[in-house]
Amino acid sequence: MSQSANFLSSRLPIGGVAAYCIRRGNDILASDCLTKSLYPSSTEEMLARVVRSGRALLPSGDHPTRYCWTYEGHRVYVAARPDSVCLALLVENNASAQLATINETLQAFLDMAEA
Amino acid sequence: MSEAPNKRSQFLFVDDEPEFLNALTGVLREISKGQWAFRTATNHSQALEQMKAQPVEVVVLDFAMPVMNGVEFLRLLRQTHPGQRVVMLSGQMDEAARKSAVELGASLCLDKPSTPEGFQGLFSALEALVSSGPQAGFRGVMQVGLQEVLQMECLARKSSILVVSTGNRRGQIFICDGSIIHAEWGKMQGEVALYGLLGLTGGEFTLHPFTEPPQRTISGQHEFLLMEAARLNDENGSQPVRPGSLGDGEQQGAPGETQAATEARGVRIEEVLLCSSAGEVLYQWKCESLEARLDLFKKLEEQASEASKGTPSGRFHRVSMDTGASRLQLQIQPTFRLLVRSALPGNPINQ
Repeated sequence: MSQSANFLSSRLPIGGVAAYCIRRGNDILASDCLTKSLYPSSTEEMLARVVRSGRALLPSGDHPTRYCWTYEGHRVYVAARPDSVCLALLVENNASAQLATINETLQAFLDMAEA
Repeated sequence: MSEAPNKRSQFLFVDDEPEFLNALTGVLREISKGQWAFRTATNHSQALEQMKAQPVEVVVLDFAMPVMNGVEFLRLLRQTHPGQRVVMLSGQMDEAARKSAVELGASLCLDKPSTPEGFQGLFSALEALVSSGPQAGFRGVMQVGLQEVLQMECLARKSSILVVSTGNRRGQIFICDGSIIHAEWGKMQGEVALYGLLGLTGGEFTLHPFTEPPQRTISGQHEFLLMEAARLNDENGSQPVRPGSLGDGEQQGAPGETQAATEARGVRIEEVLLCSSAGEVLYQWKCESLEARLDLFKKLEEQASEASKGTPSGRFHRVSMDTGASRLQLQIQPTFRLLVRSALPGNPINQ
C-alpha cells in the first residue's frame, strides 16, 4: 500500500466521508465506498470524473491544488499534489460531516511528499 | 357551527370559549344586519378543517388559546395559508406578542370586546378591513434561498430591507440601489452578520421598504459577497443553522464567520461574470474572454452532470477551485450562472 493510502487509512473514519479515492493519473492507488447507500462502481466513476474535470476545466498551466464540487446531496473534495497524486473525498451534505477534519486531512495530504 | 356561505363577508372566529363565540357572532350578526357570514371554531384543528373546507376572508383569532397560542397559530397559518388575513383578539396580549403578531403579518391586533362600544369598535375595524380589498401583489409559498432573493433584489437595483426570522432570532439585510450595504443578526453587524444569515438553512423572510440603516457596514460587489457566502456554507457546513436552533447570534457566528469575513476583506476580486442560464451576459467585470467563460460554464455543467450519473448526489450547485494563488468559483443555478475569480490573500499576486 502506498504512503498516501496508509496516510488516509490512519485517519479514517471521518464523519461525513462516504467514499474516497487516491489516484495517480489514471491509476487507482486506493479506493473505498464507506456507505451502503452508494453504488461503489458509480461512486468511483464519479470521483474519477471530478478529478479529471478539475484538471481540464482550468486553462493549461493553471493546476488547481484544492477543489470542491458541491451537489445537492454530496460534496466532492479533491486535493491534487504536484506529483500528480490526488485524493478525492465524497462527503455527505449533512450535519455529521466533520469539515474541519476533512480540511486538515486534505491539507496534510498536500503537504505530504510521496516516498 | 356554520352559516350559509353566500353572504358578503366570510369570517372565521377561533376562540376556546364557546360562550364568547356565541355572544360575539350574535352581536356582530345584528350590527351587520345579517350581511356577514360567520363560522366558528373552538380549537386550531377545527379552524384548519373549516379553512380547508372553504376559504374565509378574515380569521379572527383569540391570542390566549390552550396548546398553541394565537401567535404560534398565526405562524402556522403563514405557512399553510399564506396571504390569509388574520386579526388577533386578546385581553392579555403583551407588547412582545403584539409585535410578533404584526411581524407575522397580522392585519390588526385588537382588544377582546366586552361592552357594546367594544363590539361596535370591533365591527368597524373588521368592516374597514374587508372593505379595503385584497392586498396588491402576489403571495404564495415558494421554497427559495435567501441567496436567490438577494440576487433578485440586487440585480433589479432595488432598495429594500430583507427581514429574516428563524425561531426567535431575527436579522436584517439592507439593500440600497442594488448593493448590500448593511446586515444585522443578533448582536453581529456587517459581513459577519450577512454570512451568518446566508448560512441559515430555513426560516422566513419579508421585504420591507428601505430606510437608511444606523451605519453602512458592507461594501463590495454583491456577486462576490454571495459567492463568498456560498463558499463559507461549504466550509462551515458541519454545523448548519436550522430554524429555531439558534442560540445567541453572537455566539453562533463568532469564530468561523469572523475569520471568514476577515478573509473576505483580504481577497481581491479579479473577475466577475453573471449570465442567465441561456448564456446572456447580465453583468461582467474585467472578464477578458466572455466566449471562453461561457464555454467554461457549459463544460462544467456537462461534466458535473456526467460525473453524478448513477449517484444520488442530486443537482449540481457550484465548484470552487484553488490554485494556490487564486480561487475560481463557479455557481450554476437554474436561472443564472456566476463566476468569480479572486486572488487569495498572502500570495504574491495579491500584493
